[in-house]
Amino acid sequence: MTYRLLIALLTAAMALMFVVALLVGPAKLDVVNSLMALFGHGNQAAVLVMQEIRLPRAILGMTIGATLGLSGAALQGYLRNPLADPGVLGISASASLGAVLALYTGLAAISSLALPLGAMVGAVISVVLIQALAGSYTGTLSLILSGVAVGSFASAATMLALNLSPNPFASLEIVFWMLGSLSDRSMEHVGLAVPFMAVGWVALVASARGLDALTLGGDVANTLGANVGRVRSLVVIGVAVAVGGATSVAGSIGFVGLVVPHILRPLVGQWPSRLLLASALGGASLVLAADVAVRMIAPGRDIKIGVLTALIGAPFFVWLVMKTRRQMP
Amino acid sequence: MTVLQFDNVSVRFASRTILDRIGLEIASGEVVGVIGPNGAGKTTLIKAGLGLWPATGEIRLDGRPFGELSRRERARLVAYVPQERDVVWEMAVASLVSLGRLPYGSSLRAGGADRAVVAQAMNDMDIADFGERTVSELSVGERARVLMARALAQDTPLLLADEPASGLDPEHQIRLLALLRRRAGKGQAIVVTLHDLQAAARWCDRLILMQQGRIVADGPPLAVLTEARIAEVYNCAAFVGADDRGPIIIPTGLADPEA
Amino acid sequence: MYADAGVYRINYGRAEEIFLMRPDVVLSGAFSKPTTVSMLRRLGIRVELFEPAASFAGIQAAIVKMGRVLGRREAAAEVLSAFNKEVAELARQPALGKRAAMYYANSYTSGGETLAAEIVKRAGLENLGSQLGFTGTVKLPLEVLVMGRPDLIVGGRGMTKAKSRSFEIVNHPAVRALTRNHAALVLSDQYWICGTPFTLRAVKNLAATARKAFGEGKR
Repeated sequence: MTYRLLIALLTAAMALMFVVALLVGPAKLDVVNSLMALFGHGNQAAVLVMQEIRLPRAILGMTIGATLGLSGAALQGYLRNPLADPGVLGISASASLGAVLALYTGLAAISSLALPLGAMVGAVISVVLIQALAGSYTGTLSLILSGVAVGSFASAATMLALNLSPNPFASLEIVFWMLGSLSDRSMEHVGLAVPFMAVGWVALVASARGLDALTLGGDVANTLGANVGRVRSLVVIGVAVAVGGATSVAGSIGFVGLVVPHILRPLVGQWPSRLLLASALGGASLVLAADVAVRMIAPGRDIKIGVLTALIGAPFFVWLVMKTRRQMP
Repeated sequence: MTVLQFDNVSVRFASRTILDRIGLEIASGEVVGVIGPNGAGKTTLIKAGLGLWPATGEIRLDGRPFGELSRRERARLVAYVPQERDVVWEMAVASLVSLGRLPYGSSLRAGGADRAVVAQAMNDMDIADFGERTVSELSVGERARVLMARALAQDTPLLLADEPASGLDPEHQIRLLALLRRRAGKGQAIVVTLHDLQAAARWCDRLILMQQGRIVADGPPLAVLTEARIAEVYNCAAFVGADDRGPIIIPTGLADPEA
Repeated sequence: MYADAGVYRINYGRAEEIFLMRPDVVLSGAFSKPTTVSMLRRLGIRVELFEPAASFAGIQAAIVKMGRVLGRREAAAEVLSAFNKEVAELARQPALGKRAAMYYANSYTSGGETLAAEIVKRAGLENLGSQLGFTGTVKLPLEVLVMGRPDLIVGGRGMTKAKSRSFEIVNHPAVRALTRNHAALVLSDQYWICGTPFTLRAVKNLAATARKAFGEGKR
């Protein structure tokens, strides 16, 4: 399959899932009325549902999915490790911690920007910590261990903050932050998160050639003319800003950044640079599909999207283990 | 033509002197072997020549001081083959070799000129048929040639390779070094570090012998690797001779077991 | 009234501190802190439990029981008759034919068989939650709330100043659009929570707001 064909197929899949996401929901609206209402025609309630409830949800599903796929691909390219992803490395959990602290200390009441900024600070700190813990050796064991350490700490601190909050609902919200949810997000959330995600995307895409150069290691990359320090900054900043923005409005959605690049890598000839766009489109499609599934499986109940991505991710890990075992002599 | 010049170059790290006032010149068309005991500074010499280790003194590539060159210019002047042979992604051989074109623009938008260089590099390393195979399917010796081809695809006047023959069986070792010799014949300057004295003597035009960060000898193989020198630097007794194909140098035992 | 309340000491529902106060009787909600309740009973203290009132009938029963428990049956009877008189007066008000929907943090609404539903009914309004067939306090998807076109939205006031994500829903643009274009917004307060004679204030406030927003109904 050529690269162009792959990108075309993934784009089509994403567009299709976007439309489906607009048409699924507890308000029983048929296709024609839904689409008309989307553009402002028809009964007022339907317009409200389409423009203020379904549209922001679909936009966020698409952009957050793209962010997670792209971040996973960039992290895997930079760390030269196919198990890197914002969830496994504890970056999402740290972003959640930053967001929770901004929200529950009341900083977010002063400025709505405090929420994504808090998440970003959390994400940056986690990436710096992981690198410090794992050192320049980015072999699997030390990297995963660092990620688990950072992620565990962030989760624990989040639960503590929520338990200590005077607000009685706070301790129940841990589920949102750990599993993620797109329900009842508004265009305000879109306006808050999408600019940050877009900035992150720009930084990550700029690292593309550097990631190719890193295929044979940091030294060879250097001698191929790449500025490895600059690649690192781009990846760190890009992931922190994009994942921070995404997590601040939707909580921590796991496994997308791990599974999507892994599946698409053979289809892009293993090129790290090509994997970036493909993973963005694949991630967007996956999260949109998961969000549709969440609404179709149990329409009355509020199933968190992270449950579905975990249902995909956990078997994926099992398969990875089996594959690794088969390769061992 | 001089492609690499070291002028009073030293490398210090953690209050240890790893390279001590090195001076040397490498010219196009020669295969130079850098030899010496473990810890003599061979790898550091290579890395200093690539700018991977900070060094005092002056290093010139193609006559131009290191500091004046941009990353890209440097990447077009010297290519590197490290000792480590891990490739993390299961790329096709042709893709891997084409990584060498990165300093010339994106290797993905490979134009006709890029493809020609890649094909030539693969020919030079005798892997022209390997294009669609993945690295993990290859033997160690074949993998070594693939990684070398990547450096050749960079089309630089100078190639620095750190222990390219280590871990290879005699056939693959000889194949690799012979192919490098052939390539040097077309004008490229090639510097390799080696442990195997026989391979170094047979396949290099010139040897640089290092000990404790200094160059102790520099010249044709038989001039550098005398029995006395081998005993002094390697603490080995050796048989030094020649046949009609070239030198024969075989360590036979320890020179001084008590040392 | 708060000065009078100063006579009463706050406790946090821990057996130790209650025991030290040496009460004659302890009053508690039927679902609060069962372990504390059984501990107090084991220590020989009389504990009387009150079910949370889910209807006005429940309020009436609680008034009677309180009178019995405190040994002040006549005072309780007086409170009860005053309560019943006000309820009858409220029933004489005309129905407005408008629909209210409760919408609390985390998208919950009150369906039938809840105190909130009865407050709404006694104020002369319909309850969206009951019309949709819900009973108890259940989740109401935002889309369904919007399509249900309530004339009045009863929102939960934040209980403390600390923000929480659950309360964001009340500020959702779709909800704001509803209240801007058509629906009135009422914030439920302490009178909505506990089933006491003060619950009537909730009914009166709700009815007054509705009347002001939509004018008098037809007789």
